[in-house]
Amino acid sequence: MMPIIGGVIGLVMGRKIGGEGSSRLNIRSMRWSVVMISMELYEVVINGVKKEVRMWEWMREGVERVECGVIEEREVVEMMWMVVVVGSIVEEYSRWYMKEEGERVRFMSIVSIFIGSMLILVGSENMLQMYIGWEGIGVCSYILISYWSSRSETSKAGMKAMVINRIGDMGIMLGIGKGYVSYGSVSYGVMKSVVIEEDRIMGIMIIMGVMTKSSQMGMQTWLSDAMEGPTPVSALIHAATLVTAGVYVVIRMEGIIGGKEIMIGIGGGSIVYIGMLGVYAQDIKKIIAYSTGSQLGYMVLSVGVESSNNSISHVINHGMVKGMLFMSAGGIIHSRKEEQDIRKMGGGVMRVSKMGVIIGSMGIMGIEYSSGYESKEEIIRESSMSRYGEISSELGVCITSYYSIRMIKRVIVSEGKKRREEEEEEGMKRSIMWMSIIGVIIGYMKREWEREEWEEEIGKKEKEMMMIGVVLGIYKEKIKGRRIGRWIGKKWYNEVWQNRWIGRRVEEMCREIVEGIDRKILEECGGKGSREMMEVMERVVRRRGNVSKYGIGMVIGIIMWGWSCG
Amino acid sequence: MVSVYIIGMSLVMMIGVIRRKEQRIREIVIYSMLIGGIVEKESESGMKIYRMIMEEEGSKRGVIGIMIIGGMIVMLGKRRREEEIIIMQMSEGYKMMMIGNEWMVVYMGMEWQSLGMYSIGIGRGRSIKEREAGIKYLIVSGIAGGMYLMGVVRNYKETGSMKIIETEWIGGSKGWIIGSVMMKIGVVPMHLWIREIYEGISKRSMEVYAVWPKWGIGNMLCRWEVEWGRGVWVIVVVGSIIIGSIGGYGEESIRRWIGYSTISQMGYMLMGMSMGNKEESVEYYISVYSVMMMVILGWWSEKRERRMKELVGEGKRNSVKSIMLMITMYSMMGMPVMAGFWSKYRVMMESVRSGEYSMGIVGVIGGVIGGYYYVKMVEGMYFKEVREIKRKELNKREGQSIMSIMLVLIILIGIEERNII
Repeated sequence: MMPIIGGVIGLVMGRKIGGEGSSRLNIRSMRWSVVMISMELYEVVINGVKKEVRMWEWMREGVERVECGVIEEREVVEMMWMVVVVGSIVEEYSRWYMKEEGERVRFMSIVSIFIGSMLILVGSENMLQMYIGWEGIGVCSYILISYWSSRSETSKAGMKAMVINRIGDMGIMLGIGKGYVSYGSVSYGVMKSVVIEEDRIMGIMIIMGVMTKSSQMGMQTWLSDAMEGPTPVSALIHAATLVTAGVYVVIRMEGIIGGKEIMIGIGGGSIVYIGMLGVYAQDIKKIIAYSTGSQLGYMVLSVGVESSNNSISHVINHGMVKGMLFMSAGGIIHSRKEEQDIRKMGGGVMRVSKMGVIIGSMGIMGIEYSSGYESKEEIIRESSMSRYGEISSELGVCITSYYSIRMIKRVIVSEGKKRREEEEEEGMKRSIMWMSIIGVIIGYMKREWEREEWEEEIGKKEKEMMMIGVVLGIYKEKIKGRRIGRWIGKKWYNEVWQNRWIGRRVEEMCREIVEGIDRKILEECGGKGSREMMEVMERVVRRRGNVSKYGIGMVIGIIMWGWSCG
Repeated sequence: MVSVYIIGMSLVMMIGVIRRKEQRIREIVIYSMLIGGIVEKESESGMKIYRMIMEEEGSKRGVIGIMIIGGMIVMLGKRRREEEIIIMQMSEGYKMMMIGNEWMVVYMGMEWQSLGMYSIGIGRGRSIKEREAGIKYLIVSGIAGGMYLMGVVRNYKETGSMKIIETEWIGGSKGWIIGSVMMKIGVVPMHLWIREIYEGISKRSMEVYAVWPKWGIGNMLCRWEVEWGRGVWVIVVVGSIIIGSIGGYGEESIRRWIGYSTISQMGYMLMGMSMGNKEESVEYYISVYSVMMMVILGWWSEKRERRMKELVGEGKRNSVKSIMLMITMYSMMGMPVMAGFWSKYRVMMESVRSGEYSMGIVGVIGGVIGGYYYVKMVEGMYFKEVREIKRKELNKREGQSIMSIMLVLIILIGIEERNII
């Protein structure tokens, strides 16, 4: 609750304490959250304690109760820790990145409220409470993406994110209802204890939420457009928290929902489908965004092959690394006076931001001892139980290396035009450094502590795919001349078929409903018609002055009472 | 004991009148009514019958309510001194109706209060409208009285007793008796007099007509074990709700608006008469209705406005009173977190529990239509700008204190559903 309290106070008192005061308040509330959750992390993860905190009874339906509370298991607390750590570093980063913005109060407060909603989603012990967090992060992300609302592209991007996520929200809602019907409860614990067979239909509904929130193939269009928002928003929301919410929910529901093969199909397909978009993109933030979508495919694939531990591990590692990557990209963009095209970058001195891009890319590629190495390696290993999963995950290694090396080459290595770069803000440098240190340490710790004795190290095949990707990234950056380039350039014609086959038909149907039913039938039976009818009836009832009618009324009454009741 | 007290006070007042101590008279009336009501405690459970009088919880509550409402009516504003004495005496009539155990005792009470109502309604007799309204009321109460006596005679012929209860409720045909009472409270099809009389009488008289008889009769009906013909009951309830709702739909005159609202509210009250615990539904409804109506009367006692369009901009001119009235309007509609919601809920649940689902549906429809004209007042006060005719406020009225007390009750009952007395 601390982030939400800090956010609300900052929002309400923002005018009094100003932008700087609001930033400090929010950052301090986040730091307190980090301290508290770190203490819980020590207890739960290191000491192995499992806790359940019940706060109040929300509603009751017969014997079934829905209680608001927090469940503290290993994966829950790890995820919470990642959210608050990334959140606090990003808030510190935002303080400097958004220093000259007018509406800083609103921005910082909404970020805090977003983190609070994410914590509610992560820590909930039942689906209804989870849904509150789910909706909270959706609304906050819309507000944050459309932060610069005076620009039409930003407003459209925010609306697009909202509309596409709404489809997923509908799926989650249906899933909650189906879960209640199938298992008689919305509590995770109760559902797991009564499950006999995994509910496939519920799984399909929940997967709808995963597809939209985690930007999987077919529903990924909103994520790249969401890069119109400020970079801290991308670092927090579109790297570490919101996009992983769908995957997290599926992990929590493991053993309850079915449809594992669908998850393998979607996850594996997204790795390649979205990864190729990253190969083609020229905007640095969009490359990182597509990389996120592709990595989320790994997480979904991992859940599909029943390797949830690895999935959650990759969520945490990826969150750190991607957050840092976004922040570094933001630093570079800031120093280049808001230039985002990688073709116009290059040259200049090595700065903290550029180091961050290298470290982050290494983590994403899964190079040994980097933070993403261990979790990614485990996922690839586990996905070999499905032929499709194996091929797609290995292709993913190649594609990831391809776009990462391409980005490093363009942004850092190549000799671009000599341009005067602005100095990085101290606060931004500090945030990037902190994130990279934490990411590297976690990667090292996980490599050393959690890894079991493997029969073989990272497979030869994966190393080969990585090398192919590296070579392509160095020598073959441009693919737009070919037909495949045209397809990828049109984002696999995703938006075209969505607009043509779905959007336009829905619009036509809605127009018919409005014109035919709403304006004709319902108006006649509703407001307009009832008003006319009421006016006629009222004239009859209020007619006055006819004494004989009064007399008749009296007589009818007298007869009625006298005759009917005896 | 309280009756002796009242009669004693009446004598004191008469002396005061003779000696022209008018302010004293008013104080004596208010205090004696209020104190008399508070002093009158509820009896132990069960009924005690003392020949012509029955004493039990419900009738005691009725008496308490009569006294307190009477005291508040006098508090609303200065009136002619004889009116204050009449009001005090009318309370005796109502009390006889509440606690009478013989049909003729109840009849005496009815006539006593009718005479008072007629006197108050006709006022000084200077205005033609008031005289006309007074005579109309006299005719109506005369017809009602005749019906009542007819019913008593028929009942005596069947049962051989003039008592209402001996060891238990005495059966027999009581259609005429019920019909006369229905005429008095103004439900369909004998509702037409209400709007006529309300339009003609003065505002001071309106304060007496609007609440007191409804409380008295509604409370009295709770103790009568009435056997209704289903068809009649449906006609009365449905007709009152619908006509009361539709009639007030486009009504501009505030008095007639109050009249139609009363018809509709009485229809709802009678919905709870179907079966079961009438105290829970009917008595609760009439007590909440009385509270709400006192707020409206308290607000209106200080106003000279006659039409709805004259209330335009009231929200800005008198913000505090307008908010109070707005809350009361929403309570009359039946909006939750206000007392009016619980009263409608209880009566509709009674009818639904007895299988009368159609009644519940009609109640809801009536609530929707009726809600329109309650909201119309709020709309006029807050959302319109120009007032065509400006009228000054009346001075030296105590409506605001009554409004405040009643409003607190509305909100308290709304939050925690509870009985008032």
